[in-house]
Amino acid sequence: MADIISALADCLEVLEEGGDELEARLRKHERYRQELVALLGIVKELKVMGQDEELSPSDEFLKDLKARLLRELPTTPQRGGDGE
Amino acid sequence: MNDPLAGPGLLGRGDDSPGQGQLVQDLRLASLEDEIVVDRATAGDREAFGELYDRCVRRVFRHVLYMVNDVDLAEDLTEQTFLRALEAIHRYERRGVPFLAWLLRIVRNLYLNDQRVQRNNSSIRKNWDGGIVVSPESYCEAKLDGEEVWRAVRALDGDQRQVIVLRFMDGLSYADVARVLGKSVGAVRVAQYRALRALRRRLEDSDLGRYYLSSS
Repeated sequence: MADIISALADCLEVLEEGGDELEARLRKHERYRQELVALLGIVKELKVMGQDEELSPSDEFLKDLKARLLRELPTTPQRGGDGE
Repeated sequence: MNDPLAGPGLLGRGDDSPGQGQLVQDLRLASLEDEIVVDRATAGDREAFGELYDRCVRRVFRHVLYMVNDVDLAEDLTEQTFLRALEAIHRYERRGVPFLAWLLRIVRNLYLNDQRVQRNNSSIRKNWDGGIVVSPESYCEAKLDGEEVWRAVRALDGDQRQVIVLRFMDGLSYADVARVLGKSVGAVRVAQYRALRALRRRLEDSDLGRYYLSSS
């Protein structure tokens, strides 16, 4: 399984750089080609979904939260956790 | 040269979108700018904190919505995330990660806490994993392909879903995903493969997925 994981990471790297050399990279991993193409196709779709700017909270929510945060912004550094 | 991923619908869309590499690069550049702004915010500069908020709030909300599939809960967790960030912002500069990744680490902790509370509670949160009231894909305009893929993402277990969302929707690098999840880069790569394989299986079970994925 380690081979296909490396091959996927290898192809994703190319895809993330624009995908120009993807065919050449897939040829390098011919044995897994079919699976890689299927997985990379799904990744492309996920990326489109992830860039959907319309998926946003309401303006009212954004405005209210910002106002609250600015009200509560400490004037000196405070101790606090990151949710852990 | 032919695009090996070109195909109908699912595989062919998104060609005009920026590459993930660009997204990662943008995150890195944003990270450098963030550090300067965070310094100002830590010193109590309201304008600076407001700037960080404006830059990140929509992406945090979107990430949470992808994770919880409930708009009200997504708003609630987004609010909690920024309140925690406000308390802990002076610790950010020592982490050496993009501000967004740091915020998403807070999201993860809040999400895990919330799940623990739910497990301890006999009552199940309405619409958490069951039927959707408002899903990400219907919250904006429903897209048939996206809807199919989203349904499959939603069916993944929590960790796998988070890897998918962090890597491909939030555009984080392996190293940043590893920091957010508290795992090694190698473990993230393995989880990424397993999650994509699980997605493929689920999509193959759907008519639409059979059509798209068989075209490869």
